[in-house]
Amino acid sequence: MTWTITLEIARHKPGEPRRTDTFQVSIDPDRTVLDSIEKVWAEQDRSLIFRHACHHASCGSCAMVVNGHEVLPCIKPIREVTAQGGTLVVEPLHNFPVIGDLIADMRPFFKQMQLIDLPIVGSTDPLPGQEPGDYSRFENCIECGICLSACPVVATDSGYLGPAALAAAQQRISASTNGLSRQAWEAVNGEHGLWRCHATFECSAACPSNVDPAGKIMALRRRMTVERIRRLLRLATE
Amino acid sequence: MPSVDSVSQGNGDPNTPSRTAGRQVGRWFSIRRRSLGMWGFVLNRVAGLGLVFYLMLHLGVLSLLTRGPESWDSFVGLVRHPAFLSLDVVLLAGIIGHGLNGLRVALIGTGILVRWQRQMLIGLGALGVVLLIVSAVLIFTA
Repeated sequence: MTWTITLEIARHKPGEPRRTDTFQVSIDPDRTVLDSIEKVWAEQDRSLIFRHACHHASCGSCAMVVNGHEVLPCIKPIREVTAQGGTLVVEPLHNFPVIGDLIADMRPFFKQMQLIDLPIVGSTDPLPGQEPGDYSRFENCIECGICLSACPVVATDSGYLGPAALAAAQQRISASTNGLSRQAWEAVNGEHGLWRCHATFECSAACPSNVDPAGKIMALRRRMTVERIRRLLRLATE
Repeated sequence: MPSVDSVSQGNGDPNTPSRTAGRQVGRWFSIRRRSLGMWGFVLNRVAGLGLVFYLMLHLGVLSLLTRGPESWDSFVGLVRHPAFLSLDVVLLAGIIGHGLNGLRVALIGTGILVRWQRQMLIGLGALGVVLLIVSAVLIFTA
């Protein structure tokens, strides 16, 4: 079976005004949205730029917004997001600077991860001279940035640490006796940290890896609230 | 060749956030039928803004007291009209919605009943509707 669908793709090249280009594609509806974008690139416009790698939701690099919803297009079948003769409106992730066309600049995201002691390294294996686990990252999270794109707080507070980093912080605290460094704690508990979350649960609903960032942020808040109450009680009894 | 449908704003700087301030604030009200919590978030923003507007209006109306009893009595006569009583119901909807959802947000915001946040929104929403109906009946009949 072949469907003919229309792709309205957001275009952006440095120094040029943003625009939307329209393409028609004939494709099997059981193929993925990424397949349709690749078909546009291969058959109609080689200047279209987008990012992808694994094609099976492991790398998170292809994340984008399709018909208003953040998705991993590599695992999203076309028939789930449109119908025969329908339209796919394709945009880069929201709340990120755009490098070009469908490519969001992920540097703000990785800076947030660095703030909570999760710097980028070349391998998840321990490096020579380091303790195992020192540089293991938040394993369920594929760092696609979808949670930041879905979050309404990130939209208006670019300094907000964001769902992924806060969830990773909670994971690190739960998994390790060492917890977080002082600098990381200050970021997590600071003005743009976990108290900024407005509990919309959009991040958890959008996350393709079932990380449940909102649930982890609330768990972190519970921990902080209990600690503050204990501190107050200790002060009262001294 | 592709056809160019529309042209939107942009300065081409890759380090510039892709959205204007207005569109970013618009994200607060972007219901994408994904999480029920977003409905609660939007409800609280709309009701909160409405209640702030009402408070300002209320303070303005109270200034009628400085113009003597005739001015006040004539205003009170006006607000007993059913059209004004309907606005009281709208006001109550805002207070009940904001209050009950605020309770939910306070609970889940401190890590309590997080797993039941959806059910809480539905349950408290139902309670709010019942309270509003009872209140509306009392407003129009008492």
